[in-house]
Amino acid sequence: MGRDDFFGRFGGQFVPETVIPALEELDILRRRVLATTAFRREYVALLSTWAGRPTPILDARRLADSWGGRCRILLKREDLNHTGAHKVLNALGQGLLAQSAKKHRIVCETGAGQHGVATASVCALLDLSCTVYMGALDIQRQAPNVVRMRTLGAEVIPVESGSKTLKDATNEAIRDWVTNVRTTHYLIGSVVGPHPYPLLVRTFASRIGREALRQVRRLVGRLPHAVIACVGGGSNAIGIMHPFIRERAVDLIAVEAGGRSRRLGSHAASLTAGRPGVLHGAYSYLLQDDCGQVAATHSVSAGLDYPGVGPELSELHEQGRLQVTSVRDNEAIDAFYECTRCEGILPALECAHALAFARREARTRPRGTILLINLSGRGDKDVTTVASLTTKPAKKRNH
Amino acid sequence: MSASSQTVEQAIRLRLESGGKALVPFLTAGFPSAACFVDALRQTAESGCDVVEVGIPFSDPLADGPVVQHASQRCLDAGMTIRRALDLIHLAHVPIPVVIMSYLNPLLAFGCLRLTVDARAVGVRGFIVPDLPWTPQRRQRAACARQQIFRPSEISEQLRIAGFEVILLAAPTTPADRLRRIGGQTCGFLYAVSMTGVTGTRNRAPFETVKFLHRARAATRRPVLAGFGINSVSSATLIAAQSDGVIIGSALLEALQAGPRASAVARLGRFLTNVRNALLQGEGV
Repeated sequence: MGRDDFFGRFGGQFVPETVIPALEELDILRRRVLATTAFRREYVALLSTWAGRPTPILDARRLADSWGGRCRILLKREDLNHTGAHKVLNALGQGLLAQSAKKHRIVCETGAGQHGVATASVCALLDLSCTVYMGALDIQRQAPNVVRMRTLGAEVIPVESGSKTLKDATNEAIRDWVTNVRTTHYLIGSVVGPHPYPLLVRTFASRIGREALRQVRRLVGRLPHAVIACVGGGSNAIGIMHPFIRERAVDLIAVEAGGRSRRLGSHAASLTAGRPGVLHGAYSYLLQDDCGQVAATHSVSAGLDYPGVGPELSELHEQGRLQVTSVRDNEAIDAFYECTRCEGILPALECAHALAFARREARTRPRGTILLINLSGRGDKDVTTVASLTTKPAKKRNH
Repeated sequence: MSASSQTVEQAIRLRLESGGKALVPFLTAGFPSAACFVDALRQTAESGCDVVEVGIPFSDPLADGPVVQHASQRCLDAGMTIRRALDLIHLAHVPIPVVIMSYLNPLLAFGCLRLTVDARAVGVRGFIVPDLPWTPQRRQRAACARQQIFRPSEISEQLRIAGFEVILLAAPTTPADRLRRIGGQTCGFLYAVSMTGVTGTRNRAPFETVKFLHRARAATRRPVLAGFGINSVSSATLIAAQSDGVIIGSALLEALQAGPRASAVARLGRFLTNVRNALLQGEGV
């Protein structure tokens, strides 16, 4: 039986014994249910009628022009998903899975609130009870999403411990799950956590890439030269990249949050600046100090503000298949404005990082290069953050 | 040099043979202060504890409730590290076996080889790693050998080879066959997590705990000690009647939390002595 809980040396199940049986159960369920026609039929039907998939690809001409006019910029419009981000793919998949496992309570963590909103919506649709843990700091900076979740009937619990962001919300969600493991499904929001979560979430998220591959082929008659996505935990990145991994000619570029500076604690670039360690059940690249204590992180975007990264991305990084880079807060905000003004699309601050790096690439790559960018979510939730940052008189430039 | 000449299992067996139940306190290294921690460590031995568990603070303690979380954070803010914790254990020089309780990541960062050398030097006898559950060793090793890589799960094997007692945890959710295999692999004792949940929360299903402890004792030849949710003399006697002893953590940290050093340690001593006496008298209940 070819089972392995690891991607190379990364991954595993480093969690308290109490939830190990639940993970085994989930793994069995994943193998048994996901492949069945009944599950697929229901999933696909809801994706098309409820979530509005497939999402289109936009040939962003104005943006390409303003970036020098040499490259072709293709945007995978994940912002058009129901609830406003690609997160709904995973939330719906896991929600249906939890339903078939007869677990009627869902617990999840959220950073930017996008995963929380997607989960709350799925729970409303499937009549499941929903508890969302969210860092107190994130509650402040993503207030509209908190209102949305509560309106959808979810209980949003502020997390006051540690850095009051995604990492601590995940701790609390796991503690809740450990306590109520018999009745509760933990609906993790990214390709992180103990096996089989990274695999499970990737299975759902990679629909983005499968659609994109088909659409790009149809639109331009060839594969893109590079696929660019932002990385926090990594679900939107692995989601769009997974079908391209075996296409060796396609560059895969992960853009991490460079935050304010390169000092530990002022950014969230785990692959760039971290080293392997164990957090939230998996062995993967991790921002930590010399004593193995998990470091504080900073990013203007709540969804990237996380010290870890998915184990599969760590493995791709070590194999050299994945190029890793980072973009600072102010660069991401510039890209946010450019995309807004040129294309009439408010991108989430998360994927504004990918756009910012694409802009650099567009100026250096040869004429005719095709860049595929995952526009992973919409930026309505970020307008207050961006406004409060850009009205400050002295706007510092990136060095 | 070793402070205690006994292994963890020997110390517990000795207590069981004399008709009592084992009492194992948990203290977070450096809490509430380095000096107070050393006094508290000595106090545990004086109050008749059989083994003492020293927690290495970690930034993200997944299996712990608010009391241990808060204590850990306070110690980290004061600069506590594994190296300093070992120094404090050395300084305390307690006559009972010391077990280190640490999450995996600080151990990995410290380095396995250095850990075995430094921990042995101060007389540490065993390790408990709450986020390193038992895995079938054969499967693990085969995969690692094939790919020639190190995986963090190997650390427990390396500690065992170095002569430490690696204490494994079992939970009420652990199925029978897995429980038997954990029971066969654990050293020192079997740490029975008495309920689903984190440390320091109230046990809402004592009957389930009793059933689980019966299962656990049938599954291993090692002593079975129960932890999580034991915070008073009455809960300790209740649980000890169904097991070979109890582990108490959060309640002790709460006792240490307030007041000047001498009175905090005295409060800890009184609490432990009360539990100790109850576990001696309560035998056979």
